[in-house]
Amino acid sequence: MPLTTQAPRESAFPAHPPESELVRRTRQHDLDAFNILVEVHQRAVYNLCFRMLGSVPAAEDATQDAFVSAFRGIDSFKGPDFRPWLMRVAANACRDELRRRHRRPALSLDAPAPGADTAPDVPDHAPGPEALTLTAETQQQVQAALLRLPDDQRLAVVLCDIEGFSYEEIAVAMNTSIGTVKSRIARGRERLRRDLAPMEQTDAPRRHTQ
Amino acid sequence: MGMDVTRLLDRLRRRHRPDAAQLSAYIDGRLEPAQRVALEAHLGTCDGCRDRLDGLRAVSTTLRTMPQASVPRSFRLRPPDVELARAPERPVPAAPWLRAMPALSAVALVAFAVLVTADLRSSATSAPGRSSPTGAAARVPANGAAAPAPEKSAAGNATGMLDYADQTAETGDLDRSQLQSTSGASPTPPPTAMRTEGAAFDAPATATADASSTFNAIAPTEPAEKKLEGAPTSTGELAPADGGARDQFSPATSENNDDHTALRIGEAAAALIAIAATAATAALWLRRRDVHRA
Repeated sequence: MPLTTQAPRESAFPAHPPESELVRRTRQHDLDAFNILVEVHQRAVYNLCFRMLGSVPAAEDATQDAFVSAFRGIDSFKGPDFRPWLMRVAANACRDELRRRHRRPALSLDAPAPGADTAPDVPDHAPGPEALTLTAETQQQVQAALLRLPDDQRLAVVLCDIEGFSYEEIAVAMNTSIGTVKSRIARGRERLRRDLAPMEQTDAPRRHTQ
Repeated sequence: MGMDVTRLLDRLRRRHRPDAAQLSAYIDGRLEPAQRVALEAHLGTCDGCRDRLDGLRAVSTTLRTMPQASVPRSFRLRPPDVELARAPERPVPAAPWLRAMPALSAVALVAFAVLVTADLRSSATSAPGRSSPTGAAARVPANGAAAPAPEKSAAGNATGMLDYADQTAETGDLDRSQLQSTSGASPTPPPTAMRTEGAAFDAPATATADASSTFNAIAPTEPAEKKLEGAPTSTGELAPADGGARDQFSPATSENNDDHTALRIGEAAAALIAIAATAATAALWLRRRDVHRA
C-alpha cells in the first residue's frame, strides 16, 4: 500500500451523493453531477498524467481531455468501479499525447525539456507519517527515469506505486490481463532499479515495509 | 560424500532462481502461499537475490514517496467544453495557408473552366460553321501530328487532349460539369468539344511520343507554342493535314496565336494550381480524419 493516501478521502469533500448516483446523473448529461466527480478525482488524474508525460502543460491538456472524454463517453462505463475506468480514460489521453510525440518529436512543444516546467506544484506537508521527503533533485531524477521507461511499463508502475492501484484495478485501467500487469510492473521496477542505483543509497534510504 | 552434498546444494541453488517478476509480486504480496514460502527460503541463502529484492523494494518505496502534486487549476467542465465537435481542439490547427487550400482548389478549377471555355469560344468565332465533332475536336489543341481523316483526327486530338486529360484527370468530371454550366448560353461547339473530350477520356491512350512528352512537361509553354504552330485550329477546312497544311494555316492564325498562347498558359497554370490545391486539401482531410480517429 502506498505511504501517502492516494485514494480520495470522501471526508475531504463536502457531502455529496454517492458515486453511483453521480454516475447515473452523468449518463443523463448532468454536467454538475459530473463536475463533482471531477473534483473528487482530478488530483489523481492530473498526477497520473504528469508522471506519464513529464510536463505541467502536457499534463493539464491530457487531464482536460480525459475529463471531456469521460463525460462524453460515460456510456462505455459499465461499472462497478468508476476510478479505474476513469484512469483508463486518462491513460488513453496520455497515450494519445505520447503517440503524437513519437510521430513528431521535433515539433512536440510539450515534451519536457530538462528543468523546464517539469516540477509540479507539490504540497508543503509531508505525505505521510512514515515517509521521508525526497529532495527536489531526487524527484527530478526519478521523474526523468520514469520517462525513460517504455510507455506501458511506466503506466503500470505509476498506477501501482504512485496511484496505489491494485493489480486488478490496473488490469482494468490498462485493459489487459493481470499477468501482463505483473510483468510490466516487474520490468519497470527492475529497469528503474538499475537506472537509479547510483543515487538510491544516498537520497532514498531503504525502508523495509511490507 | 562432501562432494556429493556440495554438488546437490549447487544444483538446488541454481534451479531456484527467482526473477524480477517473482520478487516484484512478492513485494506487493501477490505470491501464492507456496511460492512465497519457497522464495523466502531461497532468500535466506542467496545474497544475490536478497540484494535484488532490496533494490526493487527501494524503487517501489521511492515512487510511493514521490509527493502527489496539487492540481494547477480546477478541471471542472463548462458546457462549451463538451459541446464542441468530437475531437479535442488540441490537434495542431492547420496553418492558415493550408486551410485556404480547398478554396484555392475551387477557384483554380473555375478559372481553368473559364479559360478553356474562352479558348473554345475564341476558336469558335475564328472558325465559323464548324460545328461537326471533327471540327470541334480540331479546335482543341492537337499536337504537331494533325490527322486528316475524322477518326484519325479524333485520335490525334485525343492525343492532344490526353495532355489535358492527364493534367486534369482529377478534375475532369468537375471540368465537364463546369463546362456544361458555363457553356449553357454559348453555341454548340463547346458541348461537342465536351463529347469529344469524353471520348478522349474513354479512348485508349493512343499517346504518341509527342503527347507523352507534352504531358510530362509541367509548364508547357514551349510545347503549347509548338502545338499552335502545327495545329489547324482556327481556320475552316481541316484539309488533309501535312506539313503543307501547317504552312497554309499558320500565317492566317498568327493573330489568334497570341491569345491562344496566353489562354493555354493560363489554362495550364490553373490546372496545376487546381491539382496541387486538391492534393493539399486531400492530405489535410486525411490528417484531420486520422486525428479524429486517434
